[in-house]
Amino acid sequence: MKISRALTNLLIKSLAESMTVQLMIKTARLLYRDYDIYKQTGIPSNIPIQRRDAANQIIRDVIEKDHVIQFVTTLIDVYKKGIMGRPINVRFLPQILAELKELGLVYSEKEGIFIETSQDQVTRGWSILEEAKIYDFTFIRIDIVDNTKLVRKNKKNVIESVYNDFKRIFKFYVEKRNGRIWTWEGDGGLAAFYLHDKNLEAVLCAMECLVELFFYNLMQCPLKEGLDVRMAVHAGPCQFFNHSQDIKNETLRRLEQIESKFTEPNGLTLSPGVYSDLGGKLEKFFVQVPVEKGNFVYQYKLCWEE
Amino acid sequence: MEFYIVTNQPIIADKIEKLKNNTHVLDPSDFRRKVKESSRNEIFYLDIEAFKNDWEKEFKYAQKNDKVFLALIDLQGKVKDIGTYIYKGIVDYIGKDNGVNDFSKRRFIDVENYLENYRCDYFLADEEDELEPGAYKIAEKGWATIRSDEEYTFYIMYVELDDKKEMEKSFAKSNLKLAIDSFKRFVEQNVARFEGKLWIWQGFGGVVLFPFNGHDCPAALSGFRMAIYKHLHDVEESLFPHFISYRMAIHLGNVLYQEENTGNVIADTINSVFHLGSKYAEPGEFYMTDDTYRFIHPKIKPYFKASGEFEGRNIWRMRRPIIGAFRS
Repeated sequence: MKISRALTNLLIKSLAESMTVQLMIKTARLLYRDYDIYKQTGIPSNIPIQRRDAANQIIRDVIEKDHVIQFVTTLIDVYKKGIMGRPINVRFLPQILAELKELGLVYSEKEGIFIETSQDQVTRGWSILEEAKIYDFTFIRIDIVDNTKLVRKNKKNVIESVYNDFKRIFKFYVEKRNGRIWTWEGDGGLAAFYLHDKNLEAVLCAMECLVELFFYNLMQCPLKEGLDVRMAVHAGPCQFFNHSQDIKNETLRRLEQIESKFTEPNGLTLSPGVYSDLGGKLEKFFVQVPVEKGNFVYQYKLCWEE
Repeated sequence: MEFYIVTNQPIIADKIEKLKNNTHVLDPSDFRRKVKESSRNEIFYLDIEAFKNDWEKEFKYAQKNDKVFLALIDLQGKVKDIGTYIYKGIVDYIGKDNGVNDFSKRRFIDVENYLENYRCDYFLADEEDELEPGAYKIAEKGWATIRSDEEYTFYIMYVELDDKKEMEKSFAKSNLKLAIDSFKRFVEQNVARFEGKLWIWQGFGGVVLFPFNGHDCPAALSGFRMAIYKHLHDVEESLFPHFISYRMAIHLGNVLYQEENTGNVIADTINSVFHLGSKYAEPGEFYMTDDTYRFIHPKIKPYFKASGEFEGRNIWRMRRPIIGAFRS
């Protein structure tokens, strides 16, 4: 993330005017356990460091590691809770938050993290996930039914237009609920949810997509047979990568299996783990279906009275 | 009924120009524009020579407008299987044998008679478009031109929560008000995207007005969408702890519009829709009168079933969406 000079100066000023050098070091160590200001500055440990110099070094290190968001989150925590029982009035926090808002990031009190708000700022990892680390995600897999047949039967420009509409609808509902599209293959893709209530958000996203696709097929789709999709939602651990990768792990393999083997056209299937997180009202819209080896999945589909 | 002969052949154009009245020669380059603009019954005779090898493409294009009827002029006898085009709905074929001599006033009268007597799509289309003079008071630009204390034709939608008595017993007044407000917001947001305006709200329901433009029914689309999105509203936005049930009914009629509505509007059309919604409608169902059904989008017509009669009007009911169940 590109940090402006204004934000850099604000961060330095905030540290330098709010804390002693010792408190600054303690704050830095909330993020970097073994942070050594002397090692970083090269100043011998028997020589006192000026507040400004310490603040300068800490912020430079934070920016170099691209941890500004995490550091500001730490400052907010320090402001709220203090350090070792001692209240700290972290100055210039509102101004720092305003600068981050300009960059498309807003602090969520509820989640205790920064959330991307601007369309331009949407990143795979919500600007907070670290490369190659493993996190718990909820995934949606969406796939067009009989894609090969559709492509063969219809003109290229018509298919392209329909598939663009399809992607646009999916993207809208995924990002509406703070999910992120990780991969897109033209005839389907993968979306990830990480923030608060991720199971619920992913399921509602998928349901909204299916309902919207129903209206699209009814009123707009130029394909005679309409566009049918299958969707599945499953949660589990996965390694995060900033750039598009063909990630293969057990969570995604299971998701693919649920979508391709257990889902009807224009249906949505949930794994048991996701279903169990839904709550009373939402559960009622899913039907339990036995699959192999005594397991179950949960299916949703829009049907009509005869 | 207007007849357009789409040709650039002088031999045909000359013949048509002599007929005058409701027949016109149309240059092939104007064909698509004319078809696109066509909003009432018109017949297009396509001279296949005028489009060379592309005439089938033009034919297909014109078929997208269901108000338009097509005929073929095939003076060279090139169409191999005329039956195919009969199945595609053509109303006439001018072939090689008689050629331009087939074009006559008598011929066109016969085509009109054929449409009237044998074609249900002509009959419906005609019924939709033929507004009785003076019956409808259309606000040309919708809400932008609607003024208080003047009469207009509206789609009037009645919407009301069911189980009022049970809810009044089960919930504290303040909680009930909050929950009803969440439903009211749902209604307002959903009708607004179709140019509907919540006009009256009393207790558990109200009346929405949609200005009538003479040919569409956004009210039906709005109600249709609300019925389908209901389950998502129940889960996310509704402040009721249970799944709500509500009735909707739509009627088309004239209303004296008043900006400052006190809920004391007295009008036949308002009474009609209130009666339909409160006396006829079953809980959880969506109905419309025949006057409304005529104008609904053809793509949602299959989702409505005839539901009998009420106060001298045929009524249509929306088929229920079934969420979570599967067809066996």
